Amino acid sequence: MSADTNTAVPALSRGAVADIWPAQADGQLRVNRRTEGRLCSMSATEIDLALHTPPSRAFPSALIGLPGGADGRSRCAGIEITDHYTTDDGRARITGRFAGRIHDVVSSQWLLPDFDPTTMAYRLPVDPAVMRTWQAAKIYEPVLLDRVAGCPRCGCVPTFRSGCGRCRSGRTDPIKLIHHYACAHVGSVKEYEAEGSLICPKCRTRDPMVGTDYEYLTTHRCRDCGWEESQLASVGHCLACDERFAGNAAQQIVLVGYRRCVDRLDPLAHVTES
Amino acid sequence: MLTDWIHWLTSLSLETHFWLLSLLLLADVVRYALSYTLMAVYDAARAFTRRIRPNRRTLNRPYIPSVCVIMSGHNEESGVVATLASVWGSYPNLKIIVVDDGSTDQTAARTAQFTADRNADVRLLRKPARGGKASSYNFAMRYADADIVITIDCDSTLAPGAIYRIVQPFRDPRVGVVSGNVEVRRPMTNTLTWMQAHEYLLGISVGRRLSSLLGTMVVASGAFAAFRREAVNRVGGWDVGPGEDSDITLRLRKAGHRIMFAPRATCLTDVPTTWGRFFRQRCRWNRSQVRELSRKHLDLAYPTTHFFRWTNLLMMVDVWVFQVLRLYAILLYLGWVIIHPTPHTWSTLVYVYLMYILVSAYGGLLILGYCDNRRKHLRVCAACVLIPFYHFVRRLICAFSMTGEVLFRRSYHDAFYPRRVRAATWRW
Repeated sequence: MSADTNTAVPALSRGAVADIWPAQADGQLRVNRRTEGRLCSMSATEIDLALHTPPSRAFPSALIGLPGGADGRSRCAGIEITDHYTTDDGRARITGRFAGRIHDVVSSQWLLPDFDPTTMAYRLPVDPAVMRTWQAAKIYEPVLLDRVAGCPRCGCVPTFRSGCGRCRSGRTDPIKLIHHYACAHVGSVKEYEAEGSLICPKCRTRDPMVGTDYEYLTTHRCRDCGWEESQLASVGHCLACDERFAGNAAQQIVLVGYRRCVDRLDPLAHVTES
Repeated sequence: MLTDWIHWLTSLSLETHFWLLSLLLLADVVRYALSYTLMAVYDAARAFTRRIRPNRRTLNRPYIPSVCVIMSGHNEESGVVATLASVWGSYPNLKIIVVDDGSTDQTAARTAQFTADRNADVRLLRKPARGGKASSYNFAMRYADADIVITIDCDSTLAPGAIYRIVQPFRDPRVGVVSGNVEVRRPMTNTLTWMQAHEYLLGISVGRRLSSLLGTMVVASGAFAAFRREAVNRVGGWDVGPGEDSDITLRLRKAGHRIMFAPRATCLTDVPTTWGRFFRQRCRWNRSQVRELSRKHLDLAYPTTHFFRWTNLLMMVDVWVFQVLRLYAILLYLGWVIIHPTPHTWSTLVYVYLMYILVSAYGGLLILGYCDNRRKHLRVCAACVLIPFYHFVRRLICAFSMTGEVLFRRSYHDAFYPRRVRAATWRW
């Protein structure tokens, strides 16, 4: 391979050492079957590598890491294997083109979970099991993004509202009560309403003044179970599984994103002018 | 000096002895020592009769009415969880209502946390501003749908089985109120709590047995008392205090209900640990007693009223003669001794003090005779040496507060209730 035209990218000389992680079609890396090879040739679309040890089994795709990234990091790209062959001198070689699932994944600097409104859950663009293999290969590292409340049953993101602390229903009505200072009677406004004015049902005081003679207290009555309490509870409702639960019973979901900790290998940067 | 004193003592005639100890003999010995002794003999005879001829019909019939516990507290975050823990699960199908009376601390949050942690059937009611205990109880009564309602202070904890024991007297449909046995939670904190523990044991654990037997109970302590819900609703619930516990007890008495004491339904409560707090607490209690018994419910003693009963009159006589008159008599006696000093004044005072210790020690024996845990209470009973001094201080406070209430109605200025409630409430 001749010298690169793009001077910003360090030249990849023929014979540069390459790390090769065999991968499955779904993008899962076979970390324990990592091997090394040497760069034979590379174009904008294809790469040819000579392997130090022949693979025990053919693999459909691979992640390759080549030297020359910033701060001594390697540069990685994904390839789909197009050919396995053995040269005349008995060395195993592979040819692949820069495409496929591996190539798509490694092209992203960040892999972030997206909220899916149909399932009401956060999903990573890559299967978490696959990401664990990428993390083991030290291609991506996890980054804590946020902590969100989740349904205790299915883990989806629930909705929250004020509701009945007993049956978790949101159908509650406020009830206004009067606390008459003079006799300490506490009753609903209806109990006090008589003969067109307010009369205390206990001490028969007529037309008390709010503030000086009485104060209002408020409670909330549930339409579904009849439970009455002065403060509504925080109630979670999962729209995915229809579970209702106390607000403090929600499970905590840790949202983790992945940041690529190697550079991306851009084959176009190494294409010669000719 | 000791020999002089003994010589002086032995030289006194029987008549002089009587005059020197007249108050002690006529009041403390007759009203307390003698009556308690008669009660102890009666109880022993009854226990013996029950042992040889047990009432199987009563023993085999469990009485488990529905119960709702009401707790009201203002800034009680330090004690509310312990109280809830002692109450919750101690009785079948128990309902608990906690009223947060305008707290500015974590009382409501801790109650809610307790409810969530234990999945307990606790209803939390919150008042936006402090309104006093009476309105809190009335607020809670709206939601109490049980036969028996029990009030417990947030700084108290119940002994195991206390709720079951306190509801047993309600087998009798005439019973409207049952007072629990209130003891001091940490009696050995300091000398003051030690002496108060002795007072609680003798005055409540033993004393209320007698007043319950005679039907002359004045108060069912708000710290732990049980009420028949229907009866409370019929008299209109609690009135503004201080002293709302004695007020509702007397109103239920007027309504014809019996007031009982459940000696084995034990509740442990915190008592003042400083003399300042003790002074304020006792002033509040004494003022409310004057207000209730000399003004609001004085008609209990009127023979012409439809609710007149001889036990009511006996109760009033007991309070006025053995508490109020005796109090002022003791102060007059002491004043006379100080104004007319003799060479034997100190000898007389020492003699009287020693006799009071003797009576207190006898009270300690009665306590030990009635209590279940003698080892625990033996240390408390040892306070009998200081009890005469304690009662003297208590009576000074009592005289000060009662006189203030009679002359100035100071109970209406007590910060136990918020200003807006005090300003609006009825004056008796």
